Amino acid sequence: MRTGRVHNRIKEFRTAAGLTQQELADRVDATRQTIIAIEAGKYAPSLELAFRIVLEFEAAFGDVFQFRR
Amino acid sequence: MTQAEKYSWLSLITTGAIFLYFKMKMLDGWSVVDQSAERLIGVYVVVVILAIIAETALALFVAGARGAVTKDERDHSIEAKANGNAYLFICAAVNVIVLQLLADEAFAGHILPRIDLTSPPTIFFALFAILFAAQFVKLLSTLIYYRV
Repeated sequence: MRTGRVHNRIKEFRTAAGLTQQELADRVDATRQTIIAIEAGKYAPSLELAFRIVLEFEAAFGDVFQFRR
Repeated sequence: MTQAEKYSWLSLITTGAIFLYFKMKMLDGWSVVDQSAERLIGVYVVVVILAIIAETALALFVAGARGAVTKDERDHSIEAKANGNAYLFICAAVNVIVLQLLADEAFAGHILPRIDLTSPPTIFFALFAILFAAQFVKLLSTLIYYRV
């Protein structure tokens, strides 16, 4: 489950938006545990879920998710 | 803990209980009890019915007021990996049985451990035990993937 290369700033955007992990999970149709795993870098979401998260924050994709070589 | 993870824990416990019933009916110590085909069919039917009842009850219990076990893409991904592990286990177990049968024929009198597959009770026990073990592999894999 460890992804290593895909990094994200979901926690930063989520707290700035004043959302709890459960609220974000409900909005993007995922479980709270999945949000926890993504924030911890233990799970790389599918492209669809990643887009749903990004759209929730009204941010650019590259601002929320980064791929580091 | 997600609904799917709770479901896996409870399923592991109920599968263990059903396996204990199966083992109690089939084994005396470490040897398979010789039984008539009618009795074996009885054991088979009871085990299948218990498994259906247990899974149905679990699904209803875990779903609770929410109506269904909530699964998202991570749950499905974990389930797929666990199913893959169970499939590999079944492949390995079938290969062991095939090699054992061939070795018995080719090298009569060898000192390797034997799985007696000469009578209906032993064949029934070996095949069902493999199915139970594969289910344990799947459930344990699921629980491990949730934690790593």
